[in-house]
Amino acid sequence: MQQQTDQDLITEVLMGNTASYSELVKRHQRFVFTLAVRFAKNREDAEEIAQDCFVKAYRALGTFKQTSKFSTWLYTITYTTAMSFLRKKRIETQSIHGEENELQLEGHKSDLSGNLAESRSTNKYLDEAIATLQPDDVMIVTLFYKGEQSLEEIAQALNMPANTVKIRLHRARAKLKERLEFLLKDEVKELLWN
Amino acid sequence: MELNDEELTRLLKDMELEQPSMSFTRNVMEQAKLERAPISLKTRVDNRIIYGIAAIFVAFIVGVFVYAIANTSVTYKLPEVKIDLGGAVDKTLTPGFLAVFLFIDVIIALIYFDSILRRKRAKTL
Repeated sequence: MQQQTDQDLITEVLMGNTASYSELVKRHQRFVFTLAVRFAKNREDAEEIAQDCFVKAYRALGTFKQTSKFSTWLYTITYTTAMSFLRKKRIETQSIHGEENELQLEGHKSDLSGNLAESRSTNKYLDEAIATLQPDDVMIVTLFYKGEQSLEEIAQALNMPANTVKIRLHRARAKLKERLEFLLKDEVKELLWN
Repeated sequence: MELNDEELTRLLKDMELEQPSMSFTRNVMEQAKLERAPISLKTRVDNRIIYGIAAIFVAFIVGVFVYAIANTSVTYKLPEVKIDLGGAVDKTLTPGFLAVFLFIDVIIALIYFDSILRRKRAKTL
């Protein structure tokens, strides 16, 4: 049996079969969640952001013009939701828990290094390298390499010119390369000492 | 250790996607249930309504235009042109010349009229 396209599922939802939306959620949840994790840097917040994205998308499904892919539209929502979440969180941390959050951030960093000590897989290094990028660059790199989005589609999702996306992608790659080389060099040293 | 471009691309393409909790879809659907069911905006706006409104506007604009034209009096005076040919026309347009000119015109007109009649006849046959 041929798999229904995103468009078929959207039509079904708009015709009143709201249960079809769960199929859309299942299809895109991993990618949206990955983007959210990259922004929020912890799974709890990421889950909240990702759920919020899908609810917002459901609410606005009737306005989806179908001139672009559903995924591109969904990633635009993900980006705006994540950015407003970060902005909100930044204000909260500055006004209420300044010092406390600094400690939490340090804890998070040590958590990361703890994880690294446990599992020295390349993916962990890659995650750590990606974490050093700006949120916009994280989005560009993830959408380009994992989201199968073209530069034009990313530009549309992030509301910036395609040329800017291209330049930022190039710079992000250079930064990732530099960071990975540094991290992997350390690993080689550790292996030698052990 | 140095990474080349190909290795970096491969690493990026191979990076794993995160997996949300098992209850993720259920949580989203529970929240979605609380929302009003989405309806396509396309089906809500009937095309006939849009065409009806457009027709009213067009009729109104045409009406105003016709009314404006009907109530406008335009007066325009052609400029006077005086050409002094210095008697050259009088010398050329002699009664004999005019008679020949009109005769040729009549012949051309008859030939043209004949061709029209022939064409009509050919069509009816």
